Amino acid sequence: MLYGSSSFVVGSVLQSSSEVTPSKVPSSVRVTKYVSPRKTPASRGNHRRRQHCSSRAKSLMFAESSSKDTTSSSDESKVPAVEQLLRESSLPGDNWGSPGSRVSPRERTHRSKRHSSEGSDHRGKHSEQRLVLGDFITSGVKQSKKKGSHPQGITSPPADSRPGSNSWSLRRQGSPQVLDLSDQEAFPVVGATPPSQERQPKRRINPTRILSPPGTGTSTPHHSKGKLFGEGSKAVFGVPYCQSPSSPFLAGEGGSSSTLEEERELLRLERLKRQGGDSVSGGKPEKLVAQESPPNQVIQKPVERTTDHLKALPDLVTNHSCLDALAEVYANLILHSFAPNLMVELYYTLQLLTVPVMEEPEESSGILLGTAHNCVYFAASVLFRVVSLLKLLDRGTLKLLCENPRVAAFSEELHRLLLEHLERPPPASFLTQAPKSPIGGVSFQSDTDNRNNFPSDQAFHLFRKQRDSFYEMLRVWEEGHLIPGWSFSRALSSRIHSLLQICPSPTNLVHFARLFQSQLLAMCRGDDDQCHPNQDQEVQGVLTVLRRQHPEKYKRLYERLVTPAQLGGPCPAPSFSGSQEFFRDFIITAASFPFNQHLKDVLVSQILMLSEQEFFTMEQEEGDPVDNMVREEARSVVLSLRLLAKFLGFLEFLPYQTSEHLKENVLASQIALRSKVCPPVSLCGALRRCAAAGQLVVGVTWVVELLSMVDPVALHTYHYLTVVMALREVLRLLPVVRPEGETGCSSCGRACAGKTFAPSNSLLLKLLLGWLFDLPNFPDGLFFVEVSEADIDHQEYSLTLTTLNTHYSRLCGVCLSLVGHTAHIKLEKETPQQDAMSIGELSPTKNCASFSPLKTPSKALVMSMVETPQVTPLKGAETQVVTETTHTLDEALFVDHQMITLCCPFVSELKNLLNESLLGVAGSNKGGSTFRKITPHSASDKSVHSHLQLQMQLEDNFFHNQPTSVRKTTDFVVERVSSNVIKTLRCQVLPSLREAAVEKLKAVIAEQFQSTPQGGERVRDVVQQRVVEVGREVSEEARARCGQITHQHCNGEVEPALALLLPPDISSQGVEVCRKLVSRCSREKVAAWVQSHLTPTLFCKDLAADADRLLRQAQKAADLQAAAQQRSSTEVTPSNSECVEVCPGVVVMDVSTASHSRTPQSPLDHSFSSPVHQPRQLQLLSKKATTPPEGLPLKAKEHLAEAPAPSLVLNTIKSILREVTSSPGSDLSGLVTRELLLTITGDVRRSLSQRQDVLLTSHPVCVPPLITSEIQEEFVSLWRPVALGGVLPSPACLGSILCPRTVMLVAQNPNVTHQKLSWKKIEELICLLLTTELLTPATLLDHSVALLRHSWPQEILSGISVCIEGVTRTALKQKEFQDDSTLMQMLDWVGWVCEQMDDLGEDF
Amino acid sequence: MKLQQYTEIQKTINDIYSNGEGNVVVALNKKFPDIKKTTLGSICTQEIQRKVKKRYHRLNTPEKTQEIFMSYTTQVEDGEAPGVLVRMAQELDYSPAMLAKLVLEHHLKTTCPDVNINKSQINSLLRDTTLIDDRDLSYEVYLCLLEDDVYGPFADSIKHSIGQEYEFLLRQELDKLNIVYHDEDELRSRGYDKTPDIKLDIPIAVDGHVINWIESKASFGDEESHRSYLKDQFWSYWNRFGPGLVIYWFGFIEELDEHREKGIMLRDSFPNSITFMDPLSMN
Repeated sequence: MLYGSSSFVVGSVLQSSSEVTPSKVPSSVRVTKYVSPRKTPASRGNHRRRQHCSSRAKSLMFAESSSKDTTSSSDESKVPAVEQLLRESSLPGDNWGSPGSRVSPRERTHRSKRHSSEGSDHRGKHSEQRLVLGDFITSGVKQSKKKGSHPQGITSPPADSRPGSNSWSLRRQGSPQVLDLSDQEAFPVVGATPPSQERQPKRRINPTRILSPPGTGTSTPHHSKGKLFGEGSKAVFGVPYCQSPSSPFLAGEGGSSSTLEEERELLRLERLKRQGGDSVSGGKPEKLVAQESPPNQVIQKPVERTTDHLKALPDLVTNHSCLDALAEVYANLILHSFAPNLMVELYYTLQLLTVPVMEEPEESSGILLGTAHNCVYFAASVLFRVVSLLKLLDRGTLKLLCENPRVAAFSEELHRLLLEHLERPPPASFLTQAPKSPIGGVSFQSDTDNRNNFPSDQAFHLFRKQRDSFYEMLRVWEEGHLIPGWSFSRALSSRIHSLLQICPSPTNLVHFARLFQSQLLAMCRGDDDQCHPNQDQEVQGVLTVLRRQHPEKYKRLYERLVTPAQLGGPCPAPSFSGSQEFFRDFIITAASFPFNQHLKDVLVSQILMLSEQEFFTMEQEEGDPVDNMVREEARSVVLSLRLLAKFLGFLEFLPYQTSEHLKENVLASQIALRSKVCPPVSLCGALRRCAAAGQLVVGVTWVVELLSMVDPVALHTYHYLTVVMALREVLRLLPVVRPEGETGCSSCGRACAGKTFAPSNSLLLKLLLGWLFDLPNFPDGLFFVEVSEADIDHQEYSLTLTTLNTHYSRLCGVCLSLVGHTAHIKLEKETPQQDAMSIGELSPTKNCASFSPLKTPSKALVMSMVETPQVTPLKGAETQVVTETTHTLDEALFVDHQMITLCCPFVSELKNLLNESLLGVAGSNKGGSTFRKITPHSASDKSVHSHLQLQMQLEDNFFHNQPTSVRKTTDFVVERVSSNVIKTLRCQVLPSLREAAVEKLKAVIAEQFQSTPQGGERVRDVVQQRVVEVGREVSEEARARCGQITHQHCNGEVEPALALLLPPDISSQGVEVCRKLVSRCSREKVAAWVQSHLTPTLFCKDLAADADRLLRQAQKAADLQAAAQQRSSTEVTPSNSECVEVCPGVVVMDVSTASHSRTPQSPLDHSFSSPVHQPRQLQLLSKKATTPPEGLPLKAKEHLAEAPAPSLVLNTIKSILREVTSSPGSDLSGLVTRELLLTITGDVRRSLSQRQDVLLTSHPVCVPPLITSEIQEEFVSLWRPVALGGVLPSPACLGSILCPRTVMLVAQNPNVTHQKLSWKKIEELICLLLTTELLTPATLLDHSVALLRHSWPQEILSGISVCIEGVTRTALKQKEFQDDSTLMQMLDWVGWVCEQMDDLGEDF
Repeated sequence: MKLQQYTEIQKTINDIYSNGEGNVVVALNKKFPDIKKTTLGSICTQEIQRKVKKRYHRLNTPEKTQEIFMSYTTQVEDGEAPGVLVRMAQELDYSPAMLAKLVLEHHLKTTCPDVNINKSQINSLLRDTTLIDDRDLSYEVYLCLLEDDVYGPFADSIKHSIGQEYEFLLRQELDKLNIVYHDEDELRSRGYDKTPDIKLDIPIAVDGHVINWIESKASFGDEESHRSYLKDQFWSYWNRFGPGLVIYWFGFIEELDEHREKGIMLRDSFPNSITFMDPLSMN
């Protein structure tokens, strides 16, 4: 369990150290046939896990002995006896570390075995299955000593065979001189804090690792597996690994139940502990003490001696040659991916580098890594050899490494190389814009989400509920999940179940799965471990602005604050962090097969869709804004893919997850069973597609993420095994150093025609693959198994292999070592000469075509010169050469540090290691003088910041609510515009500027030669000085011109383009906003390009080359002239065919020309400005800002706010009516006046005709009151114009004018005359209605008859009768009614009946 | 309005009711002269609604209904002056319109027991009381509806009308500022499932908060109504369109404006400090 459980096999070292033929290594180290148990179950019997390592160890001996038989004599003479080295490498033991911290090898073995048999702790697994460099150094020796006497075969381990990989160490227990690699202080457990840390001085930011008490259910890295499962994962179905407090598979329950208070307490104690060593132990609560020293955990005993960090001294290093040889071998293995996990090896090397030095003088001079001095020397040598790889690490780590005093002391070269690398300006950093949704939700898109996408209204309606319910759960989760004791399933399981059951139809489930996936991406993509539900808005604002304005600063701050200090070693188990927890817990709690299936479908389709997107860049280096956009887009795709693949993997393997140890036969049968099942996605197929498109960097990242979720069985099965084998091949394709040229390998004669990975891309894949190959569920030893012996789909495999080989160049062993060698040489020579070289390449006089674009540091400039026919008319033919070749992602500088940090957060472990060591060492040597100071930086000018931030938010929101095509279109236009502007700059502006500059130089040179005809150093100096000046001028001018051109481009031409491309239903204002966006973004992109490309230095370099050329020519001419001076002195200026005439039209503009002002006198400028003056005539679709609501039959033309509001009118009417009805018979004149009513009716009219906010529906309802008001004689006349005016078309209630209620109303007034008057009015009204055809006689008849069904008092009946008779009389006068005689007769009859009843009533 | 003041008003309203002091709004206005009449009116309405809701279940049992109906018929048969139901409502401390509805329902059940009466039928009778064939009931119901300020078709149409007026006001303000938006009807015609009154085409910012949609509420935002609006409307808009603005034209309890950071902002008038999206201002 040392660190370094590197998975490297002893044999590989032995073998390769003697012959340096790494390509042969895997076969030579094969320990066991990797076959699935169903083939040969016996060989994978119960011993499988247990014996793997020991048997491998034996095999090593075997392999070595055989090789030695043939090569021993010669090899031993050549290489200083690797075997000997190893033999000597028993290390001093007892003087290392205090006794309490030691664990006997027996115990250690035992422990590691238990770990493994429980299949849990990845650390345990490390030591159990894989051999470590440390292992080989010690164990190899021991065994090789004995190999002669006890030769053993692979398949026949002795019966009493050591139970674990470390068993050999038992034999050396007697030796006191062994550097005990098991020493936990010297080589701490992976992820454990090294002892030096205890001496760590205080820092401002001192991330403290928290081990919470077992009672809280939080798992700690030191727990044994079984315990974890007993406690932590009870609520988790199929959740095998609990590794850190934010455990990957652990459902919400177990994850964060310790209270904040507890955590604080722990932090406090931790700090105390670190400050004062044991001194605080008395004050610790009992349980904490218990926690910190679980029985099977190594106690980090505080080092009492304060002076034990002595300097490691190069003078004390022994056995240089052996160490060198060993380092060479080891470095090669690292560089060429013969170790499965790069990270583990690097970590181990750094551990060796930072090993503490002990006080006692070490006498064991015969032991190879017996002293810390030797360890450090070895580590430094290895690091030096892999420096090309180191350089790819982030600058923080490199800085720490460089600052490490041991590096400088042991390898000046390495130190120098690192320093030089650090001094070089960092690559322009383009932050991936965190694609996190600003809204927190998934926007509703009518194309996919509206009613048409559902089979029925009901389904649509139900999905609306499902959607709302889902977000409600998210809110609940956000509020609750950090509260101690909060349980996901308790809080949400019933909601989840009802959500999924409310409408289990496939349509809805698909919709929901899609929503789930989109929300997952919206919340989790980009920053995995951030979840700030209660972010302080202001702080966030400052950060957002910082990110925009100082990306580099922001990144540093981000890394400092967000990246957890330690992640559980260089190879942590996969985890679900931040908001991912919600989605994982949702899936687990839902436990719904249909949902899982639909979600899987959605994920698969999305993954394939994204994965098949192809990206090409024009340049390999960063800089071009378009390319950067492509890269950004690709990065975002990669991050999305990883997330989706992780969840697909999670879903796929969820049913198989188990914490049980599977017996061999069980395993075999499961493998047999599952070998028939195809994975949800054809992973090999996806890899092939990616390989063909040259973007394995996309494919591999997500495939690794998917496979990281596997259960213990899956990778043994047929299909997945095939994928793993293919991935192993990919790893072999990944040299860190790009081979020189493209000519192929000279020794093997094979042309390397294929693509090669850009170094950082290669690093990312190496790290990811290494991580996968070291995960707990990755089958033991699989990395070393030969393809032919694995039970895989050979057809698929070879197909994949062929694809890989056709598209990528693969280097043979010799090539690799050559590459490594040249790299070293290059490294050493590179710096002083590089500049001169690149200048040479830049020179336009050279044949640029023959130069690979890889090597030209500023391709932009080269191209700008060659692309200009007017400048180099003689070389017109060459312009075609510069046809822009596209580069695939794998070739391009695609992966940046941020992406590596995002995808492989564990790389920060290297930094931690160095950091701790540096602080520890510094503490002892300099008395803790190195405090890192963080200068407080006050956020300045908040208003500006918040404005920017606000605008950015607005932008995000704008796109969020528009169809996705709007954003894509805008981005596209931005891309094209900025690209065009840059091209214009390159092809037209720069050449002319440059030409003018060259002309200036020419003049200077001519002048100089005139004054000092013989030339010489002085002239050169003057010219060079002038070059600098001119370069600066040109660059300033170029920048000014850029601003101008961009402005012109953005303002004139963008809008019509956008109007054509944007969806038709976007408003004109929307188009305008997009135009402004395009304008701004294009400017930014161009500005960025200008910033990085048009620097004075670049111009200077470029011009310096010209100046050199001109000088040479001038010198030559001067010499000629001097020689011929006597004969003729006519020729003053040398005629030079290469000299290009100055473009007469080009006027070098004054630098002070403002970017926006027009300078029409410049011909170039004029040509640009002309199109602007005549914008293309493209008609925009006119967009209406608002559509008036339909429904009102009449719509007021304009709105008069003074007109009475309808609600007010209604209210008044209502209250008047109330007055009228509530006090019948009383004198109304006081309250309800004629004027008032007039006003009201007037108001009604005005409000209806003059206001636009009238709800039609409200009026008919209120019209009945109008009618009842006819008791007032004025009303009739008022009513009439209203009706005629047609303000209220055909109110339904008019039909029932003569109804019982009306009669009731009339009857309310006991005054007979009043009643009579009322009847008269009703009569008039009815007549009026009849004549205006608002009322038909038939309806009137119906009503009249209905009226007679009731019994009425005498006077009412007579009233009615009079009324109807009156109506009939009036009606008869009118012609049209006369035709309808029946009707009229009937009415007549009704009137008569009423009269009769009247009489009858009188009789009674 | 602070929660404290709101509870004070609430208390006053209930006091006035229990004392039977006539016009509540007038009395309130006297006591809280600084508060707009509309606000007080809206709060009053909400109080009445609360009360009615509480009583509804008590009165809406078959026994109680029967009892009320009997009482009504007896009074009519006794030749009591019209306004029987209104007086009954006063006695019961219940909404006259709701009481009328209850009686009408029972009336229909007893007069035509074979016919299954549905809600819309009853509502149409309420909307046009002349369609009620029983003349006494027709008149009584009519009186009840007139008497009621909170329930019934008249009150409803007034409420709708007010809502419409304020929505219109909102649209007018937006038009004035040349802010582009889609209104509810447009959205619905495009098949949106949840539609705020206004969905902005281009977001704006109010006091530094982004606004994508605006919902107009011509009422006072008290806790109860705000909670239910949040659940049924605001969060749904938020889910679909991001952060937005709710205008309670008659005011709201300030303490309820707690989701501002998350993206639901409350206001009682049209905001006057609006930041527009201008990508060019970022340079």
